[in-house]
Amino acid sequence: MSSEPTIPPDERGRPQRLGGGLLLGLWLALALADGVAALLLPAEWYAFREWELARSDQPAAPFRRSFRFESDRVSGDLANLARAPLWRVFKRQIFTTDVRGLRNPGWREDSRARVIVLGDSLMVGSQVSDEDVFALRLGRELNEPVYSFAGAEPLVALTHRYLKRLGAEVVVLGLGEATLRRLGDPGLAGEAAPLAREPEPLPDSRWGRFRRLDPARRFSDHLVGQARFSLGFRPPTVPYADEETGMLFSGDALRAQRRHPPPQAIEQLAHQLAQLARVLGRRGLRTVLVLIPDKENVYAERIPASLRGGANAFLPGLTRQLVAARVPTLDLTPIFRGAASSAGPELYFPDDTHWTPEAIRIAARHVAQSVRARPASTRAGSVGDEAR
Amino acid sequence: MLFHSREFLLLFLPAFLVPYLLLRGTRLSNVFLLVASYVFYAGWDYRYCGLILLSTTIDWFAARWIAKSANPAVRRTLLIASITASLSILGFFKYAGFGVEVANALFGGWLHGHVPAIDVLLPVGISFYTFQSMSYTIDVYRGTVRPAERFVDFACFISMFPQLVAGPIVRYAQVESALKARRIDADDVTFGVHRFAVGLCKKAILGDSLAEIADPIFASTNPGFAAAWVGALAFTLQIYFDFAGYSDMAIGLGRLLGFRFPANFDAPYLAVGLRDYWRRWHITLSTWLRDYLYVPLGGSRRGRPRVYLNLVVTMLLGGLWHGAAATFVVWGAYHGLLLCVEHALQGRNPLARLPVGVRRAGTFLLILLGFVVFRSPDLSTAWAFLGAMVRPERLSAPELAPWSLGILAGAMLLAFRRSETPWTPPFTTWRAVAATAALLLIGMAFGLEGDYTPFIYFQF
Repeated sequence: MSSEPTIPPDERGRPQRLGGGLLLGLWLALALADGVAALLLPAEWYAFREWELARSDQPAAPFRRSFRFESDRVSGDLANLARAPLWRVFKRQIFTTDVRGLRNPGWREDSRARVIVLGDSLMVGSQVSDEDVFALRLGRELNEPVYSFAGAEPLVALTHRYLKRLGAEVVVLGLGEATLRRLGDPGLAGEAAPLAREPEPLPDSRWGRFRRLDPARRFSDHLVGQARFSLGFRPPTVPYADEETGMLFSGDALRAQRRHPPPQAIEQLAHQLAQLARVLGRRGLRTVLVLIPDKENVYAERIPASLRGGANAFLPGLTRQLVAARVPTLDLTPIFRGAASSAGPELYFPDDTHWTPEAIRIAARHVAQSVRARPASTRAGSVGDEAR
Repeated sequence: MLFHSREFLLLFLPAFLVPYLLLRGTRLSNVFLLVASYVFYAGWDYRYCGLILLSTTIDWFAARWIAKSANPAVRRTLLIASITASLSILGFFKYAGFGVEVANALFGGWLHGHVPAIDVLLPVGISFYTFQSMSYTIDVYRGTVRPAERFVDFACFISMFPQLVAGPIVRYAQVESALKARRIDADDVTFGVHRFAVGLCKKAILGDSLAEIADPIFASTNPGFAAAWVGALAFTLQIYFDFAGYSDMAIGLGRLLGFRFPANFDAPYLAVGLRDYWRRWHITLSTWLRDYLYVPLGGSRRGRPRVYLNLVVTMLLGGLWHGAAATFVVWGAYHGLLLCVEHALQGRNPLARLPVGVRRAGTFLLILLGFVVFRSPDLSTAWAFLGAMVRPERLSAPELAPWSLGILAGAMLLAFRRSETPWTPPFTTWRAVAATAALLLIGMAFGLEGDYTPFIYFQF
């Protein structure tokens, strides 16, 4: 055990008398600098994207109303959460919301929309700029305006007063594989039950909101995080990076792929989604359900087998169940896999979990076909087959 | 609020420390420390602040009444009531769920159905503060300490934030005088910051890097021979740097606040034999178990069979203290049995003639095997993992980051040092001050950058 030598007071030198005070002063100065930076620096300086800045805690209005974010240095969630700054790919993004806190850039209030879009962050268009948002792309394919309620919980959106004024007939509900797996996880039983779970309220203060993205942490990310990542230590958030293409892969998605959900869980999820489609049907709305695969599913061949587990049977299994329940369903997996194997642009941002404008264009083209298809054919559950 | 999180390092501690140091050890400083400690604890779950207050109040009154009473029967009854209350709270929150599971497994058929499962959230640090408050009442009963004069001082002793959630388990006698009056001088500040910085580096650099090696191996369903050994070694080193790092931070913070907490580690992997190991590992728990369990059971005074029984019971309960799981019970029993063997061979141990290095390596191997059981989620996984360690035919190289071997080698060198700190204050040169500042900055950079991995011992 280390013992502490004592030196008589009159023999003490300056390091001994002043050292402790200086060390403590250094510590307090760091705390002060961090606090001042957090209070005075604009949040945009240390937020890497629009999402945290734009999100609201209101179920019907998922984003701040009439909000505009513009940046040339938006970067991906995986690179930032894995604390690997050198793997960031900067892009320009404009993110605009309307008076209802929904992402409908340039929407005219007197417009009507036969088709509306619901869904998660993929349908909102995290990382992509206003001109590439899915609803806008789908509208161009259909040659008619499409209104987006994406980001809002489905049943909350369907009780929105504005929906009646739009005169909607078709609902395109797009859900990413990660969202679907979370909804279908038996460990999280009940999450899918109403599919109308209110968004988690976000703390309003800047301290709370940027807990993971605060100035001191951003600083240490650059110093330490990148060094560790470069030395081969992969954090659980991003256990694998494809050096050749610069693509990062999500640990959550890979763990989900290795854990095959039991058939009952998939059946239960399909039942919930079918129930939602029936609720919509009773309101005179036809549903087109779009299942969007994860990046780890589409680019599986770039990931070592030990990390991704066996064949991914989740989306095919869910599609089978949904078709059996007569829910018009479009599983984008085979379409995306086909596109990924060609030499075209990437379908997912390398440093992020979300899809690129190219993937959105492809999806919009196929979804437009499903929307145009007559209800009789979709009721037979042929949308999925048609896509193949 | 973890010690290496931004909330603690750059917000809570500076905001607390400045006014605390300005109070200069006055009586008000205990009130301020008490309030800050409850705020600190509320950061996890404010609902359980009431539980600490309840535990504190029970032992406060029990100890006062014990001290006032001259009747041995009354004193004894009060002591038993206080211990029963403390153990009941601990038992309900920590072991009720496990007890129901065991009852259902053993007697499910007889009970014509199952006892409903009890699912309560484990209050952080409950094992530590319960043992601390129990030791106070027992010491007052034994007459080795006088009861605290002020409730605030006693509540401060139980809930002091540097050691509230994961020890060291402090005895009242060790902080009694500081609770009454304390002076914080330049040496206290130097020692405190230095020890905290050392602990921060142990935890944030070594502990967390070793976790990145050990966790995937323990998570894999079927590790190969080499992977299993690397995983076991990485966890054995991780748990040391994680817990010793936390203890260093707690001791350093205590010193900054004017308290001298007891050491919790003394180069445990240099131990020669298991008795030596338990004198060096989690010292405040092993001495607690010795003074309040092993010795009252009869210790080594009642013949060999009774010694063996006492050793096994003490270590079994020591294992169970870590958590309500069969793996901890088996780990405790394993150490109990090894201590019995060592005791039986005392004086005629043929291994004693081997060189110290060989005996040290053998002890380390036994400790490492025990930690495989400790780390595993259940006994069947532990058994499979140990099986992989004895099947060299399945020699599949583990997928390790390029620097994993460097981290393992560096951690081994540091774990086998004789001292818990690289150098010791007081500083006579500016170089030592600069080196400590560097340790603090590097530790903070790693601590803030990490995923705020919880300390292993927080779950106990």
